[in-house]
Amino acid sequence: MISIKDEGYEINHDPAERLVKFDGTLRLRGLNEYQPISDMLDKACQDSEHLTLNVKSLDFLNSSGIAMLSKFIITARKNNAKKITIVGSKDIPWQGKSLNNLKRLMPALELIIE
Amino acid sequence: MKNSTLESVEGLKQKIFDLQAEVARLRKDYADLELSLNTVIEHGDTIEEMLAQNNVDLKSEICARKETLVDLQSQFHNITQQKDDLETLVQMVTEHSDEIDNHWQEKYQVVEVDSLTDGLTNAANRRHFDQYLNTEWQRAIREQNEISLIMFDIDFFKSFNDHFGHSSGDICLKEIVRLAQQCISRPADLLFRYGGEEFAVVLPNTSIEGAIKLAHEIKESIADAKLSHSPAISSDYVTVSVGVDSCRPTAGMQPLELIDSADQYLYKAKLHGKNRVISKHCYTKRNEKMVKNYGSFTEIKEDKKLESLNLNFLPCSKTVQERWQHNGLSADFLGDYFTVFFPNKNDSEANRIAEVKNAVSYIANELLENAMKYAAENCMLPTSIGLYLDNSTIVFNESNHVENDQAETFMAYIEKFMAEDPNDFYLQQLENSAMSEEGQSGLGFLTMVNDYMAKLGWQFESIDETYTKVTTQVIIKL
Repeated sequence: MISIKDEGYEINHDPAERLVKFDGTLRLRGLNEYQPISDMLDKACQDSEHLTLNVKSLDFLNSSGIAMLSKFIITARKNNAKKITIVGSKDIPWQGKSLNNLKRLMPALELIIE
Repeated sequence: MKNSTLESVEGLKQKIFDLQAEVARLRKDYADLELSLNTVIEHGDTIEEMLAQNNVDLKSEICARKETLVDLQSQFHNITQQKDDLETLVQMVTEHSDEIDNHWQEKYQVVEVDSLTDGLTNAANRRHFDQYLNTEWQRAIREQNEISLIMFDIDFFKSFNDHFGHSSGDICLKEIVRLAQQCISRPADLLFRYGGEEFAVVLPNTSIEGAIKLAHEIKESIADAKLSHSPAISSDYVTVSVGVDSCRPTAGMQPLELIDSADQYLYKAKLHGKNRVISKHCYTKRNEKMVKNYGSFTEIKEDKKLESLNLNFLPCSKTVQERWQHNGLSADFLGDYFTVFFPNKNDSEANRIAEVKNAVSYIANELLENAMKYAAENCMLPTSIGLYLDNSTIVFNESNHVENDQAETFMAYIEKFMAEDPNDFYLQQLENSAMSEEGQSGLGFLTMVNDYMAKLGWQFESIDETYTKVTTQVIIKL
């Protein structure tokens, strides 16, 4: 298990489950501060053909965060062999529209809103 | 002939010469032509070689350009893809930002509402009251309108909490707000929890008459709800006391003036027996236009659905007595009470009892008619515990909270009043002893008063808590 955690948020990568789970509130300032998370996602993507991002417990993600996630999806799309699944929550307002928009960047993306 | 022949030879010679010249020229031309032909041939070869080389070069260039085109097309595709991605990304981030904005906006609105709302009752809170009253006050100044303020307070709420517990007290507060809200219909009229069990209603652009009407509706609505009260007090149900005031503010006036004034009337409503509305109308000179012309007391009683009349028997100060003196008795309204002052006499016990009875009789027969007209018209009379005039049953409805040790002082004071000139009676002194924060238990006092009144031969219907001045309240069943 590889983790990145700080005040208010926690991100865990479980290679065995091919899962990256986000919890809390992500309000880092700018893409630079998101770089460690971006690197973790890229690494997780490289190591596995199929990766699931679980954001059901991610209550808040700021604009830099969604930009980071979008760039990750674009990178994953360029590698056609990769399959990405995102699991979100219908109870968190930002997830409905923003996660759906990710499918525009990667039509093959599997989006599960629970 | 010879000449002819000569001429012919010469002619031939000339022809030969000419022909030779022609041959030489032709040879020269031939040489030139041959040279030209060679030159042309050589040039043609050179051109052909050049063309052949050019052709090779062009073919090579075409190949190179085709490769470049493929490369450019690939780059174009990539750039187009990146452009689409960037556009999508920008749109995503924008929409996400909007979503987050909405998220914060909603949270902000919730916090803003919370900051202006009382968490328990959901009524507007004190902070909102201050803002709203100030805003409406300024508007009233600009538009030269009236603004009214109702302040009301739950009667004996401490007893309620002591008996039922604070959780029931909370439920009671919520219910009071719900009942009061039902009486308020205009959007600009706002109910506030002013603090504790005290509430306020700000009524922009509202006359005192409108405010009094609403105040009575609130009071009646709460009384009609019949919310059980503590058995420690005389009233079975929860009631409120209400103070009302109104003004047409001008530049320089402060909202605090209106608050203080309405609060004073609320205090007087408490002072005069609670469960009533007091406003400046109760204290202003009687306005004949406000008095409905009733033909008889029965008519008043039926019209107003009155059941009883409260009378206060009050040891009077000199000033008060001078104001209200009338045939040895003094009487006037104080709020919705009819107050009778004892005569300025040192008399025997039997005479004093007789005087009180006379006062009651006098009020009933002489003063009551006019008094009732005024009081009834202004909805001032209470409907509370009754007693019958014919046997002079008296309700002692004191609300003065006096400790046992202070009760003696209090009683001594009454004795002094009975024994001496009432002009020596100092209400302030009484207030100092009886209204102190320490003197909040009236049991010992009430017991002593009860004994004393029994000694006088007065029959008690009930004994309520005591309050402020030494006021004996008589409630007459109508």
